[in-house]
Amino acid sequence: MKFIRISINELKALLNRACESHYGHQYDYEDLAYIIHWLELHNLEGVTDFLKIINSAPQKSDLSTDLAENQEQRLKFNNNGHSILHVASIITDMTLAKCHQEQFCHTSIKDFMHPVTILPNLIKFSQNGWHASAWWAEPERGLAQIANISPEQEYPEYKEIKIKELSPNDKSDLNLICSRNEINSLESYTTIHKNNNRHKTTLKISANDFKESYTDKIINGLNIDTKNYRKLSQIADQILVEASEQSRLGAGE
Amino acid sequence: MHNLSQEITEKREHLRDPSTVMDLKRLGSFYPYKLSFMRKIIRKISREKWTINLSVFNLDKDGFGEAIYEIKTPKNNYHFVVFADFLDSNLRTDRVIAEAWDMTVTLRHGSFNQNELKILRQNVPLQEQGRMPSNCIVLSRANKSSRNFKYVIDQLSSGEQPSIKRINEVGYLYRTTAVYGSGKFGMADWEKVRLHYNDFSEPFSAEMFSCFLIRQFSLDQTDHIASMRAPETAVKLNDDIKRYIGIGNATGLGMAPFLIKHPLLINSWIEKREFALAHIISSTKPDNKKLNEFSLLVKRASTHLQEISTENNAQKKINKDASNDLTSIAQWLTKERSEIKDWRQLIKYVTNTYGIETQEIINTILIEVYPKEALAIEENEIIDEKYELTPEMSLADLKNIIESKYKWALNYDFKSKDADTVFWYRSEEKMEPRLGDRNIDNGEEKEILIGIARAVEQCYSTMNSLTPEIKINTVAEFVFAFPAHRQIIRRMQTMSKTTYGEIQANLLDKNMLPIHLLRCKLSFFGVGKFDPKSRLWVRNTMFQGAPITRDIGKEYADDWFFPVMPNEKLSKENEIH
Repeated sequence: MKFIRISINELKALLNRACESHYGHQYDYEDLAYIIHWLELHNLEGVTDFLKIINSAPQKSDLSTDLAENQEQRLKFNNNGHSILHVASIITDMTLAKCHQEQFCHTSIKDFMHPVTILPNLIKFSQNGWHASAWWAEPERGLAQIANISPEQEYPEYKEIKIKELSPNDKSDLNLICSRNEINSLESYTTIHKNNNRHKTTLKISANDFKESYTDKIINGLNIDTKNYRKLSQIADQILVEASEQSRLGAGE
Repeated sequence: MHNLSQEITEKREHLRDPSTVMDLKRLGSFYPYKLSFMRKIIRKISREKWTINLSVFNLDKDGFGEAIYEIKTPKNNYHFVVFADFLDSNLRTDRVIAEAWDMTVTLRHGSFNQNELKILRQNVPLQEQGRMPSNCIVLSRANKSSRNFKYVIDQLSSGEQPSIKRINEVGYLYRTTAVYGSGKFGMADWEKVRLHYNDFSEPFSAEMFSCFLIRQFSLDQTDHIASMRAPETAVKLNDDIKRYIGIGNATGLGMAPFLIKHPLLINSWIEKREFALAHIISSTKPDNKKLNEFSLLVKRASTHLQEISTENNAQKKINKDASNDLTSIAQWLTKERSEIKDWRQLIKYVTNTYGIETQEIINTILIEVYPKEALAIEENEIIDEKYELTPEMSLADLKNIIESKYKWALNYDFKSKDADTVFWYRSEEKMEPRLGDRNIDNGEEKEILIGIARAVEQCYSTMNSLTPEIKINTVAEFVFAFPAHRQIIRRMQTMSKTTYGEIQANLLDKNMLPIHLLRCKLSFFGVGKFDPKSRLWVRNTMFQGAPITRDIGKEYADDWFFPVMPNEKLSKENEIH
């Protein structure tokens, strides 16, 4: 695999153009670009996932999510098989607004893809003084993933739990809890899934690891798979307008 | 540490209203001032006594080859690497789409070896097509002035100094056509520069410093070519003339989207200038000394404006009118001197009597007269450019923000003939920003989201179209239903906490003049002598009157403000053979 080294700012600009080109102005394309950028800066393959996502989602298709239930301290969404990337911020917005009104919110999203794209949004909770936790199960791998963040923390703690008795039918929703109080996400998870004490937790990426990977990229830039870089550039270039003598008049000469 | 935010809050009543300051035409009347970035970097290198030495100067008799300047600051060392190449005059263009230049340069951190120099040699001359090492901070290029370069060398080789008047017509020997930083083409990210190369932790200071050294190279190269051509007769360019020679610049639409995309940063720049002005007007009194200094600068500014050479008739008139206004103001000051007890009297008189160009010159001079007050807020605050949504905000509160802070945006009728005529886009030619007419040009579907007023108006219309049965109470619920408005809402929510930042103009209007945007940004850089070539691009001069490298370390008078032609006789007496 060949890599190209690019700067953080170059990737940001490239992703902004790529998202603007692919999603148009009907979505907050800068926010989508921010999520992909954050994942890539923190070694979570944002660019690779983005390219997979847009391969499966036709350009400018409806990417909204359905609000299935809106009860006290509870929101349920149905994402109709789409990636969380497109709606992670809007779901976070809804959860945060509910938290402000009701001091607590448990949001769940069913029928989703790419749950890891919720991670950068957890930071919005901590910035606003909330505890937050997100978790989801991956039955085919026999594990669940949990990410927690506390107020003022810059990064979440991202953990993986090996669960012995998880069957392929146990595919859970993506759960997002926001509270003024500390959340024991593991307890919440095991309570909901009724498989108490049959797990082994490993720390997948610590808050410190997240910070270190970002610091490393400030100094050294990022190495992006050349194929991905080319694909991304092709998408981004679609926002450019063909040059002509007439168009050159618009540049002032 | 000085807490600017707190002081601004205390002085808020003295600050000018954003509807006055953020008017596009007024922004386009701003002049370089005490805290412009070029002034700041020159103060810094003088104060810290940086050393700048030519460590490599491998130029042939025609001035082609390589030069390396070694820069030592109290904590770091850098190199400024120059590649001077032959350029066919047919290929010489100011446009960003050019592919070859007379001079290409980079500013890099640390020492380096021959192998690294080879990498630079392979990449720097390619500019946008090259890949730069991550310890490079700035990449730039410049072209010779066809009017001045050959003339100056001819004069020097024949033992004569160039005519100051002739120099003044252009003001420089080279003109930069792009100055890149902030991680472009693989270079160091701004965050890295800020944290690790903190000699350049002020925004654009590395870029400005590079322009300063391009100017220095243009002077060194000129002396070199003249001495190689006629070793027996050649003289070196006189130091006074060297100081009067700046570095040219050509700026097009590329700068305009920056001002729109970074409103928090723009807010900090403008707030600082407005705070300095408000602070000086409200807390100082015009005594004899200050009135004398003020009068001298008014006269100097008048002369400076008279001396500007431009073929643009509109700019000629602006300069002539402003110069005449300043002469009148100088006379008024002499006549009313004993009656002037408060700077507010002066400001009131100027505001009531003269146009905005003159008003802004007077504001700039007033700040110049009070260096202590201005320099107290010199240090820039770190601006965290985040435009976060406040989802819990009620829709009613958002509506209040729009109706108060964005009232200006609701004043345009986007259904009218001219209000939505223009669209901004990026060309496939080096992503150059261009303007299109919706009725004529292709590419409307790819327009850049730059029409803030239109986006605000669209959001406001959608909010007003909601019927009572649609239960949307919060911003979160609104953006859930209408995701297209999320971006403009988080911008409005963020900017509502600031005073300045939003340029109060419809940038999609047929009659909008982008040149005002360019001039505003250039004034904060410290650029002067604007010479518009159309409504879309402008030539200008940087560092005219500034010290040259041999001045660094000597006593520094921070006084290269509104530079005027040096006395020709004096310059001849100071000739160096």
